[in-house]
Amino acid sequence: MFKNTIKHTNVDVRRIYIYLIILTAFSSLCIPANLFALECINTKFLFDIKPSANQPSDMAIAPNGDIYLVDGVNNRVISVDSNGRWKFSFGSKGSDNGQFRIPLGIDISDNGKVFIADTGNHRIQVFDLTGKFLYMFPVKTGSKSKSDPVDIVVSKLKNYLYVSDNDNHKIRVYRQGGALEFEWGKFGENYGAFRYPGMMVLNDFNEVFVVDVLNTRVQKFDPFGEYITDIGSWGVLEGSFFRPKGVALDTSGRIFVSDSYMGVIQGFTDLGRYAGVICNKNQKRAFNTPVGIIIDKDNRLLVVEMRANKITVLKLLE
Amino acid sequence: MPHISRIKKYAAFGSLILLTVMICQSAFALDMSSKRDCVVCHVMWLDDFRTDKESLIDFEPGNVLMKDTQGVVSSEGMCYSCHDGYIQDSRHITWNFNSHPTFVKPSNNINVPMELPLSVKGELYCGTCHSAHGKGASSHGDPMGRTSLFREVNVDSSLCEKCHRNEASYKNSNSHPLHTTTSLKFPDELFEPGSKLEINRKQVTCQSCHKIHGAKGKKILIVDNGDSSLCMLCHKEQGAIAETKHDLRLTLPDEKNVKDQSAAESGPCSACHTPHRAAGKKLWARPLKKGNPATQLCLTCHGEDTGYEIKGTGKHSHPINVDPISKENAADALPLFAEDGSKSPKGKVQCFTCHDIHRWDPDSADNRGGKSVEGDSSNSFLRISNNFSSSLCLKCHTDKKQIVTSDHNLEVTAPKEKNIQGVTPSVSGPCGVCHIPHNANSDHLWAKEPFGDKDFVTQLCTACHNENGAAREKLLGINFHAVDVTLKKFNITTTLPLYDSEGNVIPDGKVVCITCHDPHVWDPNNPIKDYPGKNVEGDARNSFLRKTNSPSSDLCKACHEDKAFVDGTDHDLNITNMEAKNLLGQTVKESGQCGVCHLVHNSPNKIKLWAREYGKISRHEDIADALCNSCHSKGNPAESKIPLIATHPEDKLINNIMRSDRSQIDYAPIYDRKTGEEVHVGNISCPSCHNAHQWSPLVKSKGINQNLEGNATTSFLRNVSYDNICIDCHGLDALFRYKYFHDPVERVEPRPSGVNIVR
Repeated sequence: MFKNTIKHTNVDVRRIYIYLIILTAFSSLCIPANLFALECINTKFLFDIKPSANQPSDMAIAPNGDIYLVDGVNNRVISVDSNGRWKFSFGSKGSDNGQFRIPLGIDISDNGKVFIADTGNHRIQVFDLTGKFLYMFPVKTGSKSKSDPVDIVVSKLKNYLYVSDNDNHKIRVYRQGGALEFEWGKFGENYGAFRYPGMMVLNDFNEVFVVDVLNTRVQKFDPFGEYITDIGSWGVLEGSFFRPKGVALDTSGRIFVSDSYMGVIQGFTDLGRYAGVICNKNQKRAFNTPVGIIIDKDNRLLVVEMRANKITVLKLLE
Repeated sequence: MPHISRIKKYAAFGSLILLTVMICQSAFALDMSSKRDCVVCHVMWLDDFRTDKESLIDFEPGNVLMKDTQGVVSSEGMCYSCHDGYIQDSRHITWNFNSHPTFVKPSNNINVPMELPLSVKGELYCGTCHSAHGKGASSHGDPMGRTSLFREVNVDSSLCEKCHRNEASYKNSNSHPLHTTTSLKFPDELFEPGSKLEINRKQVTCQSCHKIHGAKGKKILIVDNGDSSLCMLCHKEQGAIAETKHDLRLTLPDEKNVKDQSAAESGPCSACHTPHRAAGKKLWARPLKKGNPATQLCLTCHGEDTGYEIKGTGKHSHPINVDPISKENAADALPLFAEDGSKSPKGKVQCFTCHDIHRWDPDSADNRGGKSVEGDSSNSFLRISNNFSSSLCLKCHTDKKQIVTSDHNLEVTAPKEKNIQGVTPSVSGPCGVCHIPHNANSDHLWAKEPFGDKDFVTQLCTACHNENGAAREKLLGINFHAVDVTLKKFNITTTLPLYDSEGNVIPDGKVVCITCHDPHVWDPNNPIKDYPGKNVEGDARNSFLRKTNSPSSDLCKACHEDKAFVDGTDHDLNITNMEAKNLLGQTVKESGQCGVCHLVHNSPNKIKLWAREYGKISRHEDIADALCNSCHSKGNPAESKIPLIATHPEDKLINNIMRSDRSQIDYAPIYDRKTGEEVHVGNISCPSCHNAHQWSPLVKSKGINQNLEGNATTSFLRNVSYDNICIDCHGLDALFRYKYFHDPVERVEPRPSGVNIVR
């Protein structure tokens, strides 16, 4: 049919082909940006929690649903209930038991132990849910350099504690009592190496997701530090990171990653395929320096917005 | 077919073009990829902005590639994306509390050099000071000032001083000293909030007080200085000003300093001092008038016409800007100040010499006094407590120390006496009873109401020494030494001080009480060591006399030089009768030579302030003879020297008009018979011929300390016989008459008329 038409109309087919080819070639250079809309994961804003924190970093949810927020610049941990109502705080500036020096990371075990990465004191401190100091252990590097523990996660597997040593580009694994089990990582861009590992999260298989900040990726390891895969790439397009900071998983295994510079949170499937950016009514939702993120059992996405000094609580709609 | 082959050909050509374009694009991308480390900050260099896909952040054109110019690369958000703790944690420093202003245009006081760029809007931005490529960039910092990605090295605040040149040039701009060695000890508390000294930790830099990021105080001070707590970290002693009257938050809370800050806003230190661009030396923050030198800053508030309802210094106040009485003593005891207000041993007495204006109570930093407490000599911002023993005054006025152990210490002798401030001696101290440094009655800082109508100084003394005064038991009596008189008319010169009507020492001044007395020194030679506590009875050796008057009457002789020849003669009772007593019961040892015959105060006898009972005189004798007879009579000290006769015939009035000049050797005074005053016509009496103070008329010298027998050329005669008043009437006959004047046998009786003749 097409051929006939050509014949009948006596059009110079060759010329059409040439035009098409040239058009195709140049169109790749000349197509304007924003031609394609962003993939969205829609959410609904629920409320903000503003507990008078100063540049908070990370949070964890206790078995009873209370939220524990690391208010590191104020050298304390704030506890609010699941609706954001103030409960109490604990900690002060110092290096004694129960005191902090610019802590950054937190996790809470199923049995209600609160683990704090007391960054400036180069140690892990453990409290009960009321803020009562239980014990502490130092994070050592084995060399002259000091450790820089910025996050901690508690594993159900052997009760391992995974500690990200940011300045030393390592993940150190401890028993809950503080005995070092093993560690992995070094400075670099290869798989299993890091450039400033930051926050972490575990999935149901006790696999470890580590935000590799300057390598702009999230690396996934088995519980013993064997590299499995990584998520994200370098850039400012969808599925890319510029300053990834927080990582969280939802019940379906989706992986969410906050980017503090771009002010976005992106979602990935459990296989690491880009799923979309957190939106509100199909419009990209902008966060003010999002860092620690978490998704609770009610499928609420809680986002620590560091420079906004608040936790934003959203409902994941999909 | 040919069509097909052509199509293939064109397709191949098109593909080639497409491939070329793709290769070019990917080559460009490859080139950019090699810059990944750069793009850690230079985000706009990302290839992603050059694709057809929507980026998660917007592309921001402009200044992307311009070196040293503000762009996204040096935005605060970019800095924070690494310094949030997950590469480097600067939250508690850079984004905590207060930071150096950014995104504002520099003020007129700031000179930003070319090497420190401003934004395209001419504003300060992060990149003005910071650059990953700067000379001062170093990941971990070092002592050479390379840290925090500084654009320039920052050795001892050198980066700050590139812009803040006025403050750096502190001497010219009256700003807080920098880079100077100080005796202050920098406390550890200073460094806790982030203070930095010079590398050797001995000298102040900008960053000693200021913190560029994370400053807790306004004006990016390391701590909130609203209560001057930062100042007081180093200036601990001055911190005692808080809650005193000089804490203007209490006393003048709405009063503003030169920076237009009220005292309530500025804090106690900054009410008077500002660290930069002060009104004057000492970082003075209050309005200065002409004539308010650095050394007299107090007057900016305590001056006459400031309008403040606070204490002024009054018309009569302790002199300032003067040399201390004794530089050696003063410099050791109290600080002296140079013209620029700095302490200097060669300086002068200023307000700060006596006052430590930062401390209310010199003995207790805890005693702040408060707003309404009236001060006294134990506090009042004095450097040394001045009550009890007037220690402060006496640090300089060391020559007045003896007053403490004397009857003039009214704390002992008149403890209830009050000065014009209504303060008793125990509160004012011994000096403060009579002198107050401010708001006094006179230039001599008199603290008493003057009394009487005599000369000024006498009024001061009689303020106590009057019938109702504190010293009512020590009055002058009816007859006392003349005061308020000049010596010139007597042709007397003296080494003692003479005074004008204002109480100032002048060469031609008058004799006043303090010509002879130094009210501060009881004993001119020997300070009292064991002061009994009250009302010591004095004598000629002490009694606040300027010179001791016993055993030699040096004080009297300081004026009465011609009377000094009495020493060592028969009339010096040290030689002839040491046991003889005057009317006060004093021996010559107690009264001195002069005091044997003359009482300066409280003499019952007006004539010559005679210190003895007048001697008996016969019908023919004058009252002047009674003075001599008081000794030269029976039962008295000179009873062995009683002339057989000593009268000139009555009614032979003698005129001495030609012999009345005291300075001439032929001086022959004639006295009124009853009053004893010198007259020119009358009878002769003992003193007409005798000068009781000089043994020989020809030898103006002291005696030889022996009881001598006289003759016609000695014997205290005023003149030799050939030139005495006798010859005026008797001519040469006088030689004989003179010889037999005291000899009733040899002497002829007067004849009814004519001239007496010798038988």
